[in-house]
Amino acid sequence: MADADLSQTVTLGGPSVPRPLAGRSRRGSAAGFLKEHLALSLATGVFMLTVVIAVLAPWLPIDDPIRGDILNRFLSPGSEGHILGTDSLGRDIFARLIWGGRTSILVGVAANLGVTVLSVFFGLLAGYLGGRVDGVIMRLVDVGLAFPGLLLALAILAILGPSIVNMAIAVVLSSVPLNVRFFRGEVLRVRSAKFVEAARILGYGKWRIMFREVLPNVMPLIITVTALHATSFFVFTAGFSLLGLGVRPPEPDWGSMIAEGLAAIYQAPAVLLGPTVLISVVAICFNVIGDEVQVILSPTESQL
Amino acid sequence: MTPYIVRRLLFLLPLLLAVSVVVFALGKTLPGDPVAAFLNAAGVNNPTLVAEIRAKYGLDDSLPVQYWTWLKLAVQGDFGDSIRKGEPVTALVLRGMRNTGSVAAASVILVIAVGWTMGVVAALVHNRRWPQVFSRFLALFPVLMLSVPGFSIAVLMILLFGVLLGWLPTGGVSSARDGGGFADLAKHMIMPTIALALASVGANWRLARNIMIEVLHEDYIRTAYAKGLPLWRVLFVHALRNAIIPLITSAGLLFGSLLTGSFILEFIFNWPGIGRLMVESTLFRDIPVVMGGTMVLAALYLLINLAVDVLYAAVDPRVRYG
Repeated sequence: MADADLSQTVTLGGPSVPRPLAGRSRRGSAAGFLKEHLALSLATGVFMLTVVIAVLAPWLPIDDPIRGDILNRFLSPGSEGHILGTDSLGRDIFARLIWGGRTSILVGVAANLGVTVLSVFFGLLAGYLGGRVDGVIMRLVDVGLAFPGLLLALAILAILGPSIVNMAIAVVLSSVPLNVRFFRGEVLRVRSAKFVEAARILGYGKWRIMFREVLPNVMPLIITVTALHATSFFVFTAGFSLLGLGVRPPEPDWGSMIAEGLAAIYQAPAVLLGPTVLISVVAICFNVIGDEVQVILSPTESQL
Repeated sequence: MTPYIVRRLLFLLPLLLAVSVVVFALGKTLPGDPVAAFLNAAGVNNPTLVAEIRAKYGLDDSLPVQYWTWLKLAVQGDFGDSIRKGEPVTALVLRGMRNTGSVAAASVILVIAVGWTMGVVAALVHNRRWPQVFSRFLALFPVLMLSVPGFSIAVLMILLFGVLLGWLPTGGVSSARDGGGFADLAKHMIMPTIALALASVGANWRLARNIMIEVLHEDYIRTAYAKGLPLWRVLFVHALRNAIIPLITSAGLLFGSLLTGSFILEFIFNWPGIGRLMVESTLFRDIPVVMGGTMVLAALYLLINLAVDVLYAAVDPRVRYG
C-alpha cells in the first residue's frame, strides 16, 4: 500500500539544491502566505468546500439519498428536480453525491489518523524503550511487512466480514508496520539529542520524556507523513468500498456509487461520472496539500 | 555472491514460518464451524455427520497439530479446495497470477519506458534556457498522474473509449466472437495496463527526475562533460550508475502497489486475475483461497525483495555482501 508513497517523497535532509525556508521568505501577513502557497491555498479551499457541503448535507434542500423512485430510474442529467439525474433505483444522484462525500472523506481521514496514532505510539515505544520491547515490536513489524500492499487487509476482511468499520480496521492494521519502522528510526535519531539526555538527568520518567520531549520533536515529520498519506488512504478506502468490502448498499458513498454505476454503464453513463470526478478532485487536493506541507515543514527537501 | 544469496534465503525461512502462522491463525479465527456451515448450505443438518467429518479432516485435533498438517500440505503446494469453485486452490491461484502477470509485466515495461525516460528528460530540461512552461509541465504532469486514482482513470477510459467511442472492449480477456488471438488479448489489455501503471509511472517519473537533477549537479558529471564526452555517455555510463539504486528500490516496491491496484482494477475490467480472485474469495469468505493466495503472494513478495537486494549488491560495488 503505502509503499509507493514512501518511495515518492520523504527525502529529509538529503543533499540537495539549497532552497530558502519557504515559510520565512515573506514575513507575516496571511495574504502573503496565501500568495506564496497558491497551490496549497487552492487545494485547501476546494477540499474545505467539499467538507463543508458534506457536513451540511442534512440541512441542505436535497432529496433523500436512500429512498428511490422506481418509476423515475435513469433520468438523464438536467431532469426536473434531479440536476444530475437518477440512478438504477431512481435515487437522486446529486443527493447521493453530497451524502456520499461524508462517508468517503470521513473513512479515508479516519483510517489515515488511525494509522498515524498507532504507528507513532509503537514507534515511540520501540525507538525509545529499546531492548526487548523494541525486539518484539520490530519482529512483528517484519512479519507485517512480509505481506505486499493491502493483501493483509483483504485477508483480515475475509475473517471480519465486510463493513465500514471492519474495512477501516483492516486497512489500518495492514498499514501500521511500515510506518512504525519509519517513526522508530526518527525516534532513534531524536533520542540521542542533548535535551533528551538533560531530561533524563533531571529524573523525568520515561513516559514523560517520550511524550513531552521526544514526541514534539518528531511532530513536524508526523504531520508531513500524515499529510502525504492522505491521498492513498482516501483512495484505498474508496476502492475497497467500490469492491463492496466497505460501505454496504444502500448507504451512499463515492466508491460504492462507482460500482453501481459500472453495473449500469450503458443505460446511464452519467451515474459514473459524478463520483469518479469527485474522488479524483479530492485525491488531487490531498496530494497537493501533502506536497506543500512537506515543502513548508522540511526546508531541505528537494522536490521540484 | 552465492554464499550471500544462500544466507539471505536462510533468513527468509523464519519469516516465511511467521507468515504461515499469521495466515493459519487468520483462517482459524473465522467464527462458526466450517463443516456445519458447508453442510447447511448443502441443505444437510446432521450433527453426527458434522462430528464424523470433523474427525476425518482432523478439525478436532489441537491447534498445533492442525497447523502442522496444514503446513506440511502447504509446502507441497496443496492448500485444499476452494469452497466456492470446488477446484484446488493452487490451480486457481496460479491461473490468476498468470492473468495478472501479463498486465503487471506490461505495466512494469510502461513504468520503465515512460516513467524513467521522461524523468531523465525532465531532469535534462530542468534549468535550461528553454521556455519555463516546458520544464514546469514535465515537473507537474507526473504529480497529476500519481494523484488521480487508477480506478478513476479506468472509469473515465471505459466511458470514453469503451462506451462513447466503442474502440476498446470495456472488460474481460477476450472477445466472444473471433476471440483468442494475440491482437485480441492486446486490445483487452490496453486500458487495464494504463490504469494499473499510471500512478507508478508518475511516481517513477518524479523520482527519476529528482534523482537525475541531483546527480547531474555532481562534480564528476561536470568533469565528464569537461573531458568532452558525448551526452549519451555522460548520461548512461556516468549518471545512470548512481541514479539506478533508488530506481531499483522503487521498482522492487512496484509488486505491492501493482497487486493492490489489481484488486480494484481487475474488478472494474472483469479481468480474471489474482486480484479479482482474492477480492471475490474475501467477499464470499472462501477461506482456503484467501489463506493459500495470501501465503503464495507473501512468499513471492519476499523472494522479489531478496532479488532486489541481490541486484543492489550486483549494481553498486559500495554495497557489500554483509
